[in-house]
Amino acid sequence: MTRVRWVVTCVAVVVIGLVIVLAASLGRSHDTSGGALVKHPAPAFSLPALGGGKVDLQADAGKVVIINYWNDWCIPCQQELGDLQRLWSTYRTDPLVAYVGIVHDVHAQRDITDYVQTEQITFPVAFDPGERTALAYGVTGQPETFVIDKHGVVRNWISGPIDLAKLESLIEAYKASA
Amino acid sequence: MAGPGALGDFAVVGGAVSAALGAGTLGLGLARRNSRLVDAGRRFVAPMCTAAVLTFVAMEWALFSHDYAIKYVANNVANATPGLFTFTAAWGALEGSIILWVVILCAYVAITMLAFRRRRRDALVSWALLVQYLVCLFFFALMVGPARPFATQSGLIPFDGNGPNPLLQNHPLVAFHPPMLYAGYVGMTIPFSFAIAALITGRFGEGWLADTRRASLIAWGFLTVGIVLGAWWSYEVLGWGGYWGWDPVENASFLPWLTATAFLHSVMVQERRAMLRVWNISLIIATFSLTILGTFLTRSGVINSVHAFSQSDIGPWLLSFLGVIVASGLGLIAWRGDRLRTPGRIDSLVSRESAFLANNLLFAAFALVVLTGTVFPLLVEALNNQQISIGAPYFDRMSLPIGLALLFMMAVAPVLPWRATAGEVLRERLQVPAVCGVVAMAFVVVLGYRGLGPVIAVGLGAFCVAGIVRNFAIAVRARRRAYHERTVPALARTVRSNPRKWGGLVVHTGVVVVAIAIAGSQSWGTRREVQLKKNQTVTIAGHQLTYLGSSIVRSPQKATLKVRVHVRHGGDDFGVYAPAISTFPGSNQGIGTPSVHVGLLNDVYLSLIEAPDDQGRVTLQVGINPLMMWLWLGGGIMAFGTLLCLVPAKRKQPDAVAPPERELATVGAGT
Amino acid sequence: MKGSRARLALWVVLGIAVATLLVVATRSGPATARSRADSIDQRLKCPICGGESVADSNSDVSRSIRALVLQEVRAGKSDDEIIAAIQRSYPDSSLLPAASGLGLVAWGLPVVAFVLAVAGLGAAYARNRRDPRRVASPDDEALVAEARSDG
Repeated sequence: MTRVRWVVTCVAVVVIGLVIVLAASLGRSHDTSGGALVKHPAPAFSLPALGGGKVDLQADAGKVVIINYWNDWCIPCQQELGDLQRLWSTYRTDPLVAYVGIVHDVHAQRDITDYVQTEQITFPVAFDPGERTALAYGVTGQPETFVIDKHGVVRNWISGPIDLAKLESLIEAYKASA
Repeated sequence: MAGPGALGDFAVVGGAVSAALGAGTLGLGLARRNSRLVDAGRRFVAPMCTAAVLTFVAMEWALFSHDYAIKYVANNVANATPGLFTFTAAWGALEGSIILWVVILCAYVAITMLAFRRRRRDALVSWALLVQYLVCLFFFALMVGPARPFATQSGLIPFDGNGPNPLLQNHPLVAFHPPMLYAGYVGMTIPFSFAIAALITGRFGEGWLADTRRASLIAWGFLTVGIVLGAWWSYEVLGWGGYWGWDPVENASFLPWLTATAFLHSVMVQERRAMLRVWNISLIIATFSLTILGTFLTRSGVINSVHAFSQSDIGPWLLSFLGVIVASGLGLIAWRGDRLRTPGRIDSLVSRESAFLANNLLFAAFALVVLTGTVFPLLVEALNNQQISIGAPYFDRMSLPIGLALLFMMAVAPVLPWRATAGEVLRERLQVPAVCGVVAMAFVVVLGYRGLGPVIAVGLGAFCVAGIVRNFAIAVRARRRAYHERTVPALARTVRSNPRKWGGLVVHTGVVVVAIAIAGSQSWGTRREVQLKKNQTVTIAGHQLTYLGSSIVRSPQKATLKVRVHVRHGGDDFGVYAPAISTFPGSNQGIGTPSVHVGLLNDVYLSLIEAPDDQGRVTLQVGINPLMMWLWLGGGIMAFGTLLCLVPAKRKQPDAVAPPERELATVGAGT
Repeated sequence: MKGSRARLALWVVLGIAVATLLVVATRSGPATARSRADSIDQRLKCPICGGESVADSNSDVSRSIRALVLQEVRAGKSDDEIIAAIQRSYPDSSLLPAASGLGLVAWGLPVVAFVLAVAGLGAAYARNRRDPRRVASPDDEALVAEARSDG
């Protein structure tokens, strides 16, 4: 085999490999955001609560915790608001379940106070100054919901509006597990 | 039913049929050596080109008549879209961009056939035409099949369309940037088709290079201008203050540019010394393949990109086409392998031909870096099922040494004679330029600029430009002495005597200007996010910015929030600039429009990040970007140099009184 | 002879000047917190905007990350610590391929290919010098004749 043919063969092998890689990439989705924390310990936080006081994740140790990042101007957040309020009403007295709504916007503090009143929201709302907590949870948009089990491990990450029935069944499952 | 849609569909099918019939007849004729069939095959060029033009006309007709029954029209224009952006919507999305591609391709084919009309019986030209037919057929087939531009809506016909992508109705550059870029991309088809024809006919001497010299240069010039305009568009529209982000879309245009640049240089070695035949054929096949690969990467949705491109199912088609091109190219080279052996050899390491070799190695390495960085995340995903990203820091680090080495070669190579050099000659020729380079470095260091990369770039740039000026000065002086001409006519005649060489040196000057502008703007700029109350002033890198107030302008096309900022620098009043955020109906995403004060040394780049909050504070991103104007000017110089290269050379002057050969350092093959 | 010695001296002086200038050019002042934060931002990928870096993007997440990075730099953390912390919640956020494992391929492939190409050319050149075929073989003559006839 001459040198030219030898080089051509090498190049051909490389190109075939490249084409296979490209063909394999066709049709694969490239949604990379979110969910990195699933199966990892939930980052701790202690955040100022609406109406004074603090919301502290450590205070809820041993409980199943639902954390929801939301905002008053985000339309899918408005859609799931009723469901979240229902979820809160169901579990507010349950010693094994806690719920936190974290507002995902630095400047929103004042608007949120009005909004919570007009929408008659009663679930606990916390603010996240500088969005440090959101960054620790790998949040990229709103709404995003995290389910944390009794051992403080993130079990689920939900992007977009929640499915109430599904979320409730998850909570029951984590409550029941040791 | 008559109308733009019917006309368009008819034209697309007509074009595909013409290309297929042309290819079939010509192919049969060539295989059977039947010159009547070959002649008949050539006749399909005219109907094919007519069909391409008709397709484009039909698309414009549909867009301007707001024929919303056609999906493309409904998705890409609205009633309120201004005329210019209605016109440019014809290439704003995938299907339309293929129309543009085909129109330009057919124009190239037609012009090539006109240029070769005297040699139409030549087998090389006929085989090249066959390859061109097949490429045309592929793109027409795309429009018949997976990317049908005149597909109609199902269901109700809307009263108004969605309008163009907001980013594509914000700046008039969309009228120029894509056509230029495509003229560059598509133009590579011509040298590619001749290279394939050379392989098939076995005439891979220097003939096909001479035949496609102009086409390659023209395509390269368009590609250069297209890339620079793309950078400019990014800078003016996207609002992040930069112009090049090593985004896959940008890399897709840069890859063929790199290999085409290597090709333009290495053909000179083949012309002069009959070496590097396989290499040249491979380079042009690689260039054409890379244009298709780039189109695949940006249009198939395999890679995330900042540029909002519509995704579609033409991916498998483009990938198959790429496979066919590479396979046939490699197959032909392997088949011809023995006969491609080159008779020439390199006599000395310090010679023009080895400088060209080094140049080619550097360009090939550069292309490999860009290709690796672009495709590597896909490889990792395929092997490890893990998402990784490769971005600007990787490309910057890898390309800096290559870029500096290229600048160095650009300074030294043009003074190297062919075959061999004595060190003494080299030292003498480089003496003055080297002093200039060191003085330039000292100048920027004394002014307080720091950073290894940019300071070396300035030094090498001055080194190179001084060498070019010296070259021109010597040639002009020789002419003045020999023919008693004045300076300007002497300069003009010098260029006319060998346009390719002198034009090439002008292009080099442009490259140096671009390189220094890139180095300076990357290293010596400042970027700050500031929050300002009304009438508050902030000072950034010596520039005072005062926020004056905001206003909202509404038009049917868009609603725009403008923020007025007064910019001053020391005693100079630069006036009031108004960065804005626009919202377009049919899109809830706000599109920022930066406002730029363009200066000789520094641009002041303002983009609005947040509208006034409840306390009336706005958030602005302020960039002080050095040397930006020189980037665009450098691009202009490169384009001008390319034009000079295309000037027809004057027949040889009486050689007896030509300037002494010793001083005639040449860029091109000195004919 | 004298002229050429003076010329050589000029090149030595130029070399010394370049070396001095380069040393000065690398001596920028100590990195400020902001410039360090800027360089970290450039290495981080905005989680929601294609391949754009945190430094270039003006999305909300990127702006929050920028603020976080600046704060961490001021708190005295090292570059790698800060990037590792962000990668915990945004795994695909480094714009540089890793300096280990598969990532090495991205760094090494172009370099290895370049070195191999240079070595190959060097070997070919050395072979030519050892065996300078001054007389063309009939084969070569034929090739040249063929090349000329193309013209």
